[in-house]
Amino acid sequence: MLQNLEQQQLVLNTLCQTLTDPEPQVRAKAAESLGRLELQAALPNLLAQLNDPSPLVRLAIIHALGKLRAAAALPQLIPLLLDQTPEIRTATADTLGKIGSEHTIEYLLKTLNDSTPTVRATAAQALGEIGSEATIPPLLQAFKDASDTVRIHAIESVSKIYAREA
Amino acid sequence: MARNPNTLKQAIEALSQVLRENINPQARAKAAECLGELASAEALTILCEALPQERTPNVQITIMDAIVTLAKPDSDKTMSETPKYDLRGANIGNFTETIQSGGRQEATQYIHTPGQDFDKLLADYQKFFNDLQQKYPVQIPEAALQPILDAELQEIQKTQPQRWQNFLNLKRLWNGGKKATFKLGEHFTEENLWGKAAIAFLEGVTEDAD
Repeated sequence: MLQNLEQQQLVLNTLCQTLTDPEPQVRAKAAESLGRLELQAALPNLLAQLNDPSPLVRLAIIHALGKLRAAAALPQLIPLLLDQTPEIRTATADTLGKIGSEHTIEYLLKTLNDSTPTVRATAAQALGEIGSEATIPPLLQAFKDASDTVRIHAIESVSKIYAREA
Repeated sequence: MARNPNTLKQAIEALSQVLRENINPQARAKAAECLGELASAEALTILCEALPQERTPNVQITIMDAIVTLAKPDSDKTMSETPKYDLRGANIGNFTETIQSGGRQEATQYIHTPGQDFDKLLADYQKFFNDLQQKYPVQIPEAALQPILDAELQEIQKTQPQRWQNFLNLKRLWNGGKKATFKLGEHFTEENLWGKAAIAFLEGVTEDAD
């Protein structure tokens, strides 16, 4: 339906402007919408709001960056793997998997030791998305994780990596 | 069905007027939703112009959904994080995808169970979601919630098989039991997404429960 550049620009401007709305749920929806529309030109605006005071908005932005597969966002995303909120760490690991850059492998490997099982499981899954054979040994270690979910995701990732290599 | 361009134009004008001028937020939201379904470039422009003027969060959110629907009609289908359990499918309390800040929606649904201890199953299921809310205290976007819920349910399935079976039994009873009644709203409200997810799981696909 975005039939021309003018219309695309209108949608982009409208949604980017809404990223600064006073209401957190409105800002979050704007970020989500930009991600769903995969409007790459929204990247600077999304990054500018990545420190939004609302975790709801930050989560929506992180997910939108995943939808955009925004490798340019890596410098700002990687530190969020150490965020104090588990949901932020989970969303960040998920987004890094979607971006699929091998530059993030070392950080995701460290995240396999996160204190929260959901974060570790998502990191294992993300490593499978990236698909580097070099991550197989640490994923095999994750087979011994205390959480079944982590172990299952690690197994799936190893399977996915080998399937890709084949 | 072929559209009459004149009728379409009239509809867009009328909906645009409601969106701009009606004092009832629900009417404005409905107009936005309707414009989103018209597959018209003009409707897209109207929605984009209305968004900065709108001050009611729920209407703003509906406008943005309508913009996405128009700009990329298949966006929901292509979302990799599309929820496994449809959080919007159940028409209980007319809940929508998003709930207005501070809003509280409740609904009453009467469920009949056979002689089994339905209340006990429900109490444990409710506890599971209460624990999740405490574990994840911040409000989570719907797209982020589903993977977390899937992982937590998977964990239950693997580590507490009896409890998982109880959840499935509850789901089966929910979908066709015969005896006791209870009020859905007393157990799960729609003011947060966990409540919606709890209901959606019960109302979702039933093959797991067999």
